[in-house]
Amino acid sequence: MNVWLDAILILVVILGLFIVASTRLGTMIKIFSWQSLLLGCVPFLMYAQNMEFYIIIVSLVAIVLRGLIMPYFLFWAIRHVSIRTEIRPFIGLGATLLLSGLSIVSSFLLASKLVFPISISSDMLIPSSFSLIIMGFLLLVGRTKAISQVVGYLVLENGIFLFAILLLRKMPLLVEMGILLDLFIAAVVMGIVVNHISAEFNNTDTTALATLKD
Amino acid sequence: MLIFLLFFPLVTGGLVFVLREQESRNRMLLFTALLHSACVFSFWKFTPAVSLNGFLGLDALGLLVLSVISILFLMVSFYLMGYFKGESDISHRIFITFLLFFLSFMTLVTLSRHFGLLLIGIEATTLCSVPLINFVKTRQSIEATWKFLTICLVGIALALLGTYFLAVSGIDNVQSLFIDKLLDHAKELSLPWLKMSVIFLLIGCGTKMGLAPMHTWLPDAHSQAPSPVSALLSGCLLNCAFLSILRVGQVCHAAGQTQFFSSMFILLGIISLGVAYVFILGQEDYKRLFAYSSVEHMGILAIGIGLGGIGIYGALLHMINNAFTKGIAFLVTGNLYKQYHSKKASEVRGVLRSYPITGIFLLAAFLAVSAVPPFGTFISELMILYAAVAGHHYWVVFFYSLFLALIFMGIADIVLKMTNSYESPARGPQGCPMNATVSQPPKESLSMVLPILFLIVLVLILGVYIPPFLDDILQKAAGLLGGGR
Amino acid sequence: MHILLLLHLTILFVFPPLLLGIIGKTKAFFAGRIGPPLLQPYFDIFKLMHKESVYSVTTNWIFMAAPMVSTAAILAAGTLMPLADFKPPIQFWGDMVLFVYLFALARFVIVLAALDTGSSLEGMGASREATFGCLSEITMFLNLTILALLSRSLSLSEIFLGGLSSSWLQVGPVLILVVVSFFLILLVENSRVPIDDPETHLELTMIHEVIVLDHSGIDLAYVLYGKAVKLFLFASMLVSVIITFRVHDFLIDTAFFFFELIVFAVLIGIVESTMARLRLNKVPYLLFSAFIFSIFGFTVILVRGGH
Repeated sequence: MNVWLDAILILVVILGLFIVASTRLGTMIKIFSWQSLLLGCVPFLMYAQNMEFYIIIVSLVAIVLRGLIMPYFLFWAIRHVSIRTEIRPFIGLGATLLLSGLSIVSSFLLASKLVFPISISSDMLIPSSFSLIIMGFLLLVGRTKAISQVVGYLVLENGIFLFAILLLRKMPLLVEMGILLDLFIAAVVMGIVVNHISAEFNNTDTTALATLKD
Repeated sequence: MLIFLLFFPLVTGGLVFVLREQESRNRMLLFTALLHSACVFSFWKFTPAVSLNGFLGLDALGLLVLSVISILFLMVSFYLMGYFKGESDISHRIFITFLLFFLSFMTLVTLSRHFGLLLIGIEATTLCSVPLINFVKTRQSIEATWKFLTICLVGIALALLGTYFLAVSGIDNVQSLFIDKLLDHAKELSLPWLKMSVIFLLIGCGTKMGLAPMHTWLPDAHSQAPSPVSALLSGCLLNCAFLSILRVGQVCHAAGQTQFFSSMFILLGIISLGVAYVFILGQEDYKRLFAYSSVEHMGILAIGIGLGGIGIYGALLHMINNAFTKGIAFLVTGNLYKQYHSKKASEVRGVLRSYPITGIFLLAAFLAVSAVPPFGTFISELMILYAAVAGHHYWVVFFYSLFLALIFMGIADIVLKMTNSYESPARGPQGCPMNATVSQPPKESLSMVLPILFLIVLVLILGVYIPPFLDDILQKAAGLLGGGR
Repeated sequence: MHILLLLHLTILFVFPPLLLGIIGKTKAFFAGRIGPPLLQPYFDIFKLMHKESVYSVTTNWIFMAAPMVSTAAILAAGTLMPLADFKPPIQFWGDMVLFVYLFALARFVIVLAALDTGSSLEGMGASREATFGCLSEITMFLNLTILALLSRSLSLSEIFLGGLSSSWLQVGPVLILVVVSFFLILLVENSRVPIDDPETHLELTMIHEVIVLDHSGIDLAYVLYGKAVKLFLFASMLVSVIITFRVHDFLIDTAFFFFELIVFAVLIGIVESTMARLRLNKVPYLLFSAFIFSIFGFTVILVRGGH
């Protein structure tokens, strides 16, 4: 059993908890950046014995795109819209924290029921990715500020990336890079739309986006 | 050849971005659309070779969807020539660029023979449609864009997870996400992971397709986008998502899990019909009306695929009919909006008298959307009903016919008032008469009439006669999913 | 053998106030003061012993009995807990449960006494103490359960005397979760700084301090002493989770244990001098996170089937 891998995975999930628990947008983005950097290290630990060139490429690209460029871009976005904190989330902090705790427990139980066809280096990888996905969902649903929703989407993606690490050797490089790039552009487009929102509505509260309904 | 088809719109899109004149941009758009269609038509005769290490290839299903996309895109780009007239003050550079990118990525979805590539295509179409939906940049359109973006991106993220699950299900024998390989080894896939992946892909792509509980972005985006874009979203984008679900269905069928797949699909379809009915009833906004009708038709497609047998044939035929019908409907709403400057159904009155051609088209759109013979939609919906009766799915028969009848009445109530009623002639929101515009109707420009006419004729033809070459392809495509006549 | 038991009891009874002294000294150092002497807590307790107790006319025997009962309960808990390599005087299969509930009993009687005074401030403090208590108790149990699963034993002496020796190598990350969660619980249970300020004298912001305001004389001495013992027990428990390494030389191990405790007290002092008190409505979040940390670790252990 790979203790270091376990430690990193636990840390990644705990950082997810911190993101869920914080209301300051700057803090959220910083923690997200740390989380992404750690995630980028996971492939190196997992495939330490038989490193291949394109695994290195994919992890490096992930580290640079998510860990460095994305936080930089998000900081640019919050400077632009001059919003610092999430004042009144839909789901309160305590409830979100408890729900994420529940998500961790349930994803571990779920993952223990699903038998992975081949042996993998850590049995914590799948449950951690599930719990990150659920935490991303919680942020997307529970927050009102558009930027926190973007961070939620990114956390969700981090969870998916964590799952994808399992399949790094099975997926062609082209596809892997395409997906990485796609997700990255998606987040950038979201950031740009956030700026449009703030220009048009003078704030980025998505509760203001409620004119279209039946 | 396939690579050319894929990259050509990308290149011309880039060219459009640097071109100076509006006129030459429009010409470039039309030229690309024409060449694209020409290529696609040549594919009906000569099957193109698999290219890019097997990543790209064209089967019957892909060809069907690709042709629909190509025809509709051609019509829309023709229509845009007239639509942009009189709006020359706004720059359409970014709009046309992304329209061409949109075409390219939709082509990618239809051509890809690899699930990962398929998802890249779907995600890219979503991203490309953002500037298209947010064309007018009002508060409402930004709101619609944000909803579209968040909901669809999350949907695609789930679909991506589903794709990874699919890869896991075959990790010890197939070791690949190539559709052909998965189909060959479908029996060896690990079942729990396959089922998980089907659930996630259904929810994810179902979001993009506009199936009911996940449809919420659809009416907003369709009502706020410019009408030609709505036509493309409804006729092309939804079909791309539908195609990706069908790919999953193919794998399920090959793995012998058709039952699992179709029961979920039928359920989603019936929910979609119900939701569409509830929101169509007394709908204020005529573009939202047609948007909900899209939800309805996607539900019908889902039911058809779920029923199997002739239902699949019917659903595929219905996909073609629906795409063209939605093209008609949304392009007509474009004409209406040009003339009335309002999306409220209550402010559009007496269209038949003021604008006879648009009025007739609106009636035709209504009849086609609600599947009245001799339009093609009637035939395909009848096939699906037949499949339900033949398969003894009496609950499906009941709900299907009930909701279709109710929706027919709901749409008729709104549309017939728009075309015929003369009382309260076109009043603005504050009761200010809009007679000024009504009394001297601007001429309905030719490029805004011909594409609609062409589509109407197409749907009419499909209603009375299915040409043998189309029948052949439909049979083949339905065969891929284990159905057929 | 009896000598060892006696030594255990001596440490348990004598050592605890020193920890408070060390914390006080550290805080004074960080504030740039000389501070009270190290043995000040002993002096305080000694002084209070010789003072008369004053009882309000509205109180009854519950108020008088509470300090004694709670201190007795805490000391009883101490007799279940191994210190360094000293075996506890009492040990049996499942004493872990009794251990937690003795602390609960101590809290319960103090809260009852606070309610008995009928003062509104004390009632408020009692409600806070009870709320935070019930949150921290679950977490405490979960943590102990994890340790029990790891060492395959329900007895404190077996858990802490060698039961965890190989766990750090196997599930180190999980143990870190347990340690963090334990540390948070320690801060809450002993009303240390980020949660509660033991120095403050503003009743509105206090949690533990406010419910013992009405005690005086020997009763207050009991309360102070009980608090010190509780802190000592928590600290020694945490220290024995963190450092399972032993050189198997009785004297060195014992000396090392005391050294660890002193370092730990200094650490608490540093935390207290560098952090500000949390707003009261943020405290539950801290408790929630402690709970989530431990349930996270618990799930990991459970799914893996323990070791």
